[in-house]
Parts: sequence; C-alpha cells; structure tokens
Amino acid sequence: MKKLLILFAFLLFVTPIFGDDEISTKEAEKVKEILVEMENAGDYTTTTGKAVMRIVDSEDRETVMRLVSFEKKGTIEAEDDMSLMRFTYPARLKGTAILTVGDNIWYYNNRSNRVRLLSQSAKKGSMMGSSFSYDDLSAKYSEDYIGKIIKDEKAYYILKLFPNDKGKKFKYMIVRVRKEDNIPELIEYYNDEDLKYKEMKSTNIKEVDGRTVPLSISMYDIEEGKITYFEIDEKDVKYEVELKDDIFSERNLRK
Amino acid sequence: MFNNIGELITKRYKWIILLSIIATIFALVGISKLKMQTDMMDLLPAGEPEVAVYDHAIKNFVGMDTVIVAVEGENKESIIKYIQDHVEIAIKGHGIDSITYKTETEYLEKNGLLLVKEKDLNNMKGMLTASSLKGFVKGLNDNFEKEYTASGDSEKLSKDRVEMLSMLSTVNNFVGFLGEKRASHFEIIENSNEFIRGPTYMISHDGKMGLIFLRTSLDLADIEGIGMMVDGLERGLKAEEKDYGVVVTLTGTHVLQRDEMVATERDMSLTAVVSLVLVLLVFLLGFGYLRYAGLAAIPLFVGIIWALGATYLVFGTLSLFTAMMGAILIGLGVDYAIHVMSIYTEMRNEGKDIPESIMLVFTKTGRGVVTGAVTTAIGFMMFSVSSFKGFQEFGIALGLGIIMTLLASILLLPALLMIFGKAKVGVKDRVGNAISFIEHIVVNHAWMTIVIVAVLFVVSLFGIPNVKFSKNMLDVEPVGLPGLEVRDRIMDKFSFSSESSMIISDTLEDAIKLKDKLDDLSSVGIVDSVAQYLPSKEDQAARMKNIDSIKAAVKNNADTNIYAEALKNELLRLEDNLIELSDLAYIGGEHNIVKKIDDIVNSKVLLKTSRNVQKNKARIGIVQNYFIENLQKKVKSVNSSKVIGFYDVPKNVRTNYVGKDGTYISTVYPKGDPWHADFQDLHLAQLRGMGEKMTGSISVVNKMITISGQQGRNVLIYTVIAIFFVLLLDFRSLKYATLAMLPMGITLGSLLGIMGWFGINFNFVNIIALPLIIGIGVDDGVHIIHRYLIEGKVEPAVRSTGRAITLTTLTTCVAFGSFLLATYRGFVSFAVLIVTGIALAYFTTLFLVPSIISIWNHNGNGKNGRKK
Repeated sequence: MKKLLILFAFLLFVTPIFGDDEISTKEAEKVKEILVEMENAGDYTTTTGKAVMRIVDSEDRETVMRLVSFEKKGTIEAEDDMSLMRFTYPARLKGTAILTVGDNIWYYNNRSNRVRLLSQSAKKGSMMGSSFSYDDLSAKYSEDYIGKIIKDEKAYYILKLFPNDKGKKFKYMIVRVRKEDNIPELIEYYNDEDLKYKEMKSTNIKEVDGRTVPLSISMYDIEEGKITYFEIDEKDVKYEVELKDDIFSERNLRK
Repeated sequence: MFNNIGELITKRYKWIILLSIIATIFALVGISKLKMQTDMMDLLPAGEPEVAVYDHAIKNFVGMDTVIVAVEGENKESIIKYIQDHVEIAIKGHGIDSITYKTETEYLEKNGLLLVKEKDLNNMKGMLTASSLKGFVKGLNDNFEKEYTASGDSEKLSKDRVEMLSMLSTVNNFVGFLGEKRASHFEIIENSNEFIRGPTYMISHDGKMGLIFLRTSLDLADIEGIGMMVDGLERGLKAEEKDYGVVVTLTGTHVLQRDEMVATERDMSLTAVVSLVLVLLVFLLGFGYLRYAGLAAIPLFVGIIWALGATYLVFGTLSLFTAMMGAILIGLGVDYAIHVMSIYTEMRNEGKDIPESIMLVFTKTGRGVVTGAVTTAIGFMMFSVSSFKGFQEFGIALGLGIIMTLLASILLLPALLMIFGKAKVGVKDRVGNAISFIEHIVVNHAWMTIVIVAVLFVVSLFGIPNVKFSKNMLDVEPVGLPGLEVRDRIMDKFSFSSESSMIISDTLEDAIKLKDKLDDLSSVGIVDSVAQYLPSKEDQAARMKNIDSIKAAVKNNADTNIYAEALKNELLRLEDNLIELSDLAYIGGEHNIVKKIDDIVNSKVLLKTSRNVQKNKARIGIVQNYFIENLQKKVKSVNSSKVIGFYDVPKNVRTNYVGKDGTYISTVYPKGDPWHADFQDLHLAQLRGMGEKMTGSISVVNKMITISGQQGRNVLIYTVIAIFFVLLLDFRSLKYATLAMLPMGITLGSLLGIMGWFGINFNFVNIIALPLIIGIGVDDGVHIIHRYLIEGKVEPAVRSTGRAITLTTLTTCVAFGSFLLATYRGFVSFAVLIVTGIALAYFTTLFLVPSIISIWNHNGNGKNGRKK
C-alpha cells in the first residue's frame, strides 16, 4: 500500500534536461541514492488497504469515492508489479475496477459489465478523471529520473528531477524529500514554460504496521482547477499479506 | 496665524457665510452633470498594452461587446417560439447593429465536414457512410469508444463538453424516434442534419435556456447612451415574456456596466445617508445637544458639495474608487467640526462669550486640526503619484475633499456659531468615564501598558505570512445583480464563460495559425475564431481527400432491411457506452454530462427500444428511410472540391471576426477558473507566450491587481515619508514626530496579522485602506501630543483630547462602516479593513503615546508644555 501511495505521490512524465540544468555524474549518483532510498522506504512485497478518493472541482463541487486496493510487487518469476483498485462507493461505481499489470491497464465497468484494455496513450492521461495519472502507478523513480540537489536542508533534500522519457508532459519537478523517512512531502510539476501546473502534497505521515506512510496525499491540478485527495484508512492498511496472482487477473475483475 | 483667522471670522462672519453660499451654488451645478463610470478598463493607465489593444478592438470589431439575452423557460418549444416571433421586433430602435440566434445551418451543411479535423473525420466515417440505422448506431458506438472510453480518461470529455452535450441531445432525440415517440419526417430529417452540423438554435442541453447575441457599436464611454440602450432593450424584450411563458434576462459588458452604474449609485446614496445619520447620532451622543449636531452637519454638507463640484471640474466623472468619497468625507470631515465644537462648548461652559470662545478654538486646537487634516490629505494625495488611474483620481478627489471639509469646518462652522452658538450647553460627557479609566492606566501603569501592547503586537505578527492578494474579480464585484446571476447560469448550461481574452491577429493566416496553437494550450478551453469556419488551405486540402473517400463510400439509397438483431445489439452497446461515459464524466466532475446521460439511461429508452425492434420493424423502417437517405444526400452534396475562402463565410459570421482595419479577433475561453490565482498565472503566461496583441477581462484584472499591489505599496511608503516630514515640520522635534508615527507602525503590523489570522485578503480596492489608515490614524497621536505640549501634562491631554479623538474615531468608523451595506464587495472589503485599522490606530495611540510620555516625564525627559 505504501508503495502504491508513494507511486501515487510521484507522478511520472518526461522531457529533456540540460542547458542551465547540467548535472554532474557525482551529483546524479547522489540523487539516485536518494531516489533508491525513497523506493526502499518501508519496503514490502504485498499490501492491501481501503481509501477514500475525493475530487473537488473548481466550483467546489465534491465527488467522493471509496475503494479497496491490492498490490503485489514484481518478483524474479513474475517481473511485473500488479495492482487492483476496486470502487466500493458510490453505488454507481460499486464493483468498477482498475487492474494494472506492468504496462497494461484494464478498466472494468460493473454497470456495463465490460472489461476494456486501455490504450497505451491512456497511461499519460488522467486516471478516471482524477488529478493523478495511470502513469503514477508504474513509477520507478531511480530508473526513470535523473536530477540534482537544489538544497540540502537540515530536514529535507530539495531535488530537481528530470524524466528520462521525452514523451512526458512535464519538463522537470521539484521534490521536497524528508530525510528522516525518505517520504517525498511535496512535488511540484513544471511545464516547458517553467510554469507550475501540478502540485502534490503528502500529509498525515504516520507509522503504520511498522512502516512510515503518508495517509493523505493531495494532487492539485492547476490547469483543471481540481484537487484530488487520496486518504487512506489507517486501520485497514496491511502489509505482507498473502495475495494470489489470480487476484490480478482480467477474470477476477468481473467478480 | 490662527489668531488672525479667529479674528477674521469673528469680524467678517456674514461675508464668509455669503461666499460659502455662492461657492455651494456653483458646486451644485457641477454635481448635476457628474456621472458614474464603472468600466474597469478606464482605471488602468492609458499606456498599458491591454488598454491600447482593447481601445483598438472596441473601435474595430462590431462583436467586441455583446448584449447576451438569456431566454429561460420550461421547454425549448416556447423558447424557440419567443425567439422566432418576438425578438427582432423588440430590439428595433435600440441601437443594435446585428442579431444572432441561429447557427449558420446552410453554410455548415455545405462545408461542415471541411471544418472537422482528420482524426475526427475518420472516427465519424462509419456514421456518415451508413446505409442503415444499424450501421449508423455502430458508427456512433465506434466513435464514442475511439474518442473517449478506450482511453478511460475524462480529460477529453471535459475539453469536448459543449459538443458532447449537443451530441447527447441529438442522440436522445434519435433514440426516441426508434422507440415509442411519434415523429414527423421533418423532425427525423432535422435530427439527421443535426448529426452533421449541430442544432439550429442556441438552446441549452436541458432545453431550458436559449441565447440571443445582440451586437452594438455603442462606445462603453457613452454612459448615458448605454443606460438608455439597455433600459430600452430590457423593456422591449421583457414586454411579452409572460405571454410566451419565458423569463428574459440581459447580460454582457454593456448590461453589466448599466447594472453596476445603478448599483454604485445606490451604494453611494445609501452609504452617504447611513453614514450621515450615524455620524450625527455619534455627535449627538458625544455632545448631547441637537442644535450643535445640526450645526456640525452644515459645514459637512457644504464641504462635500464643494468636493464633488471640484471632482466634476477635474475629472468630469466618478469612478469605482471616487464613488466612495461621499461617505468617506462625512466620516473624516466631521472630525474637524468635532474638534472645533469640543473646544467651543468647553469654553462656553467655562463662561467665555462667543467671540472669545471662537478665538480659543483656534488657539487650542487650530494647529492640531490643520495638521491632522494635512496628514490625512497627504494620505490621499499620495495616491495621485500612482500610475494607476483609479488611484490617481481617488487621491486627488479625496485630497481636495479633505481640504474642502476642513475649510468649511474652520471657516463656515465658527461663522455659523457666531449667529447660532449663543446658547450655553450642558455637555453630557458620555465618554468621560472610559477616558478617565484609560488616563489612570496610562499614567499609573505605563510600563505594563507598553508590555501588553507589545505582546499583542507580536502575537498578531504570526498571521502575516497568511496574507494574500486576491486575484478574483468576484471579490470586488457587486452581489445580487441579475446580469451577474444569469451569467453564472449561462456558464453552467452552456459551459460558456463570460470571462475571456481577446487576441488580435494582423492577417487571416495568422488568425488561423493562432487557433491551432491555442488549441494546444493546456489552460485553454474554447477558442472562438474565424478559423472555426475557415481552416487553413492545407488542412482543407488534406480533409478533402478524406471527405472524397467518405462520399465514395456513401450509397445512393437506404437499405430496405433494418437488420433487427444487429440493430438491437448496437443499441445495447450504445447503452453500455453511455453508462461508461457517464461514469467517466461523474469522476471527472462533468455534472451536466452525467445528468444528460443518466436521463437517457434511467428512462430505459434504449433497453425498451432494443427489445421492441422486431415489434416496431415497420416504423423503424420508415425512420431509417428518411434518416439515412437525408444523411446520404447531405454527405454526397458536401463540399469537397472548392477551397473555401474568407468571403465564402456568411457575412454575419465574418463581421464577428474581422475588424474595420482588416485585423482578426480570436476569443479565448479558459479551461479552468480564471479567478483562481495559480490558474490565472498559468493561463495568462501561456497566452502572453503567443506573442500576440492580447486584452480581455482576465488580463485587465490581473494587470490591475499587479499595478494596484505595486502602487499601493509605493503609495504607503510615500505616505509614511511625507507624513513624517509634515510631523517634523509641525513638532520641530524628531522625538515627537517619531512618537506620533510609532502607533501607525504597530497598527499596520497588527492589521496585517489580523488579516492573516482571519483569512482576509487584499484586493485592488481595499489595498487603498493602508495609506489611509496612516493618514487618518496619525491624527490621534498628533492631537494628544499637541495638547500635551500646550498643557504640559499627560492627564488633560488624555482626558480632553481623548474625548475628542474617541468621538472622531467613532464617526470615522461608522462612516466607513456604512460601506458594509454596499452591494459592491470591493467596498465591503475596504470597510472591513479600514474600520479595523482605524480602531487599532485609535487604541494603540490612546494607550501607547500617553504611556511613553508618562515614562519620559517620570525620567525627566518630558516637556513641561510649549505654551498655555
């Protein structure tokens, strides 16, 4: 679950770097170390949990959804990370689910009882209308980013990270990482004109089941004027539970 | 000098009254010609690019300022009937140049496919080449899936909101024809046409609102003309609304200008009357004698009349800012009368005769009153150095106003007292007990008082980081105006934001290229440009090939077979697609789309129709024949050979986009909320990045905020310096000048802190409060120090002057507080800030200044009085 959250918290998009942002090898290696620490923070192989997703639009109208989630990290045999999110509220979305296995995303609509494999381009877009993208679920930041340390503060690293993938929407992001637990507390996304267009905050960071987890993550989409809050139910987060692979199957989506 | 003035008044009081009457008559003539100017553009410096582009646009483009008529009713039939039968007659003779209430159906049917992007043309191919309803619905399903559900993303759905709502209405009608709904062949053919070129009338997706656009070349500066035009249109258009069962509301720049003018005039009158009544009540409570309250009102009235007359002479109009001057001058002007009256009544009670009492008024308080007025006038006048026109006018008009009310109070009031001030008064000192208590505290517990003030000040400072400058125009706009309320409903029903930016292009090619670039900007929702009707030649050429292939695939006749089973399956697939679309829309917050689809799905029309295809076979066959044959005919006749040029576009459309000087206008509607600070910055940076000439309400307000923020800060600094200089001249002592200013620094810091704690933001109207708080608030310290220097003791300075400054603070607060009743939110926010600031300045001065003097006296650093 934590991985899911941190991945949520860490939107991936991409563009080139350089110019004023040249990065020395030494600096890149240091940043990579920090990113690996971020990935390893509270490491786990499986997690389950319950969460509330609230989307507040520019006219302050709120849409509330509840969901259960399952996540299993890739192994040597089955390399792909797998995740399943199933909506439990409201009634119109109950049973609707999103399954991610590696780069593939399936969307199941319970009311139409249809499963749809989403197009690859869909990964860069918004996830079900939220401020998060499907890409967020498959971030491997030590592999996907290079960057530099802008500030080394007492309690934080302030990083400027550039995505390796040139097809991403953002040019770079500014990340504030807590040194004590390697949680990215704030991520700001900047476009080609150096204008901030998205901002993610992790709050309510607590120790749950032996791991430090941000229990609330908000993503503010400035272009849409929309904020998505993803809030985890602390008592329902579990780690290292047994999850069979067939939970993450297309067949299971319809259950 | 003040003795000389006193002597002049006691000897020549009748002449002073006569001259005042003459000056008042002249001023009243000017006031009768004074008009309100509420156009925000008028407040910006003339050299600003936004203003220059706007001025250019308003002169060149007919469609620049549109009167939008919203016709609301229970069903679209009554709305369309009203539009068809009544509108053209109702608007005659009211200065309207052109009217639009229908789309250019003929042009769109002929050239519509040339306007569709290639990708979309490919997605639509199945629908357009269908020879049966089964094929058509399959094409519709394929289109929905390729465009929306395959990506599982509601972003595109948001971008296509308007088209999607229109498409869903057309789909809803179409499905109805296949079900139980009886339809004429005309209705079926119209529905078929709508799939190609959209609906004929501009009716909202729920069928409850229709729009009409009226264009006028009337200049926004022609305030009277606008008022007459909008009044006339409103009368004409609303005259028969009940007969048609509709409600008609007008909006748009001209209408809002009229509405805002009416609202401002109402605010001006209401606040001035309330302010006057409350000020006189405070005066009455303070002095307890009706005659003197009435006498104080006369110079107040006269001073304000002179000030308004001077405003007419200098500016000719009142702006959003100067409209506040009536109530402000009542609150500030009465202070001078209070100081005069306070000493006068005191002296009369001590048994002095009238001339002697008046002479003592000038000896004891003349200098303090004039210094106080000068510092206040400086507070205002400093606005005149701003390049922000709104501030300039405000500063000059109010600065003049203060001088006028001062002159009326120190010349006319004593002159009137010479005639009407014979009665001795038993002054009811209602504030005396409270002041005595303060006197006790500041004299006996000076250090404790200073420590308490310091602690409160430091605590308040923690709120300062939360203070923001609002970028939301709605924070200053009036509440409850019908034109503003209907604007919100239009936004909701048509996704048509009234806030937009206009970009001017020099050539048609530039305008067409600009549309493509704007479409790619993430913050842009809709672009209204001639390019919508006229794509580039290259795009047209590329699309022609696609259209030719579509035309080649179109059969000559509709199939005779309806393929019942396949049609049934496609209808069920359509239901599934609509369900998935509605869920995407639900999560994406597209509430109108959700409602529209839910209405279709919940009516179960698709389920019922699919079940009854066999039963309704004959009727569906007839619908297929009319629908498909019309579709085939229209697609076959669509233009795919002649490249359309500017003059092929209907004249009514052309005139909207091309200016008299041959330039082209594109209107950009934002995707997000333009009044949200982060989005506004992003949107404007993207638009400015286009490198074109741009203007519009969003950039103008943004510019006003930027300029007013910078200028407000500058004015504050200039005010502090100038007032400090005046205080140095007045006291000829750095120590006392600093002492008078010290409470102002504490007041400003505390005020900012309180704003932060309570979430009060600055806007371009209330920012003017800061220099004014300094200009007005410093008077309290000036009066206390002057009185101390004259008496040589703290106690009488607090007791006697404390009473007067308590009354002046109360009158100032109730006068500014009257703006809380205004409809303009800018006035209300100004009132909140300035009343809080003046109250803070009063308490800080009353507790701090005497405490510090007490300590100085105790330590032997005080002064034993300048003179008695």
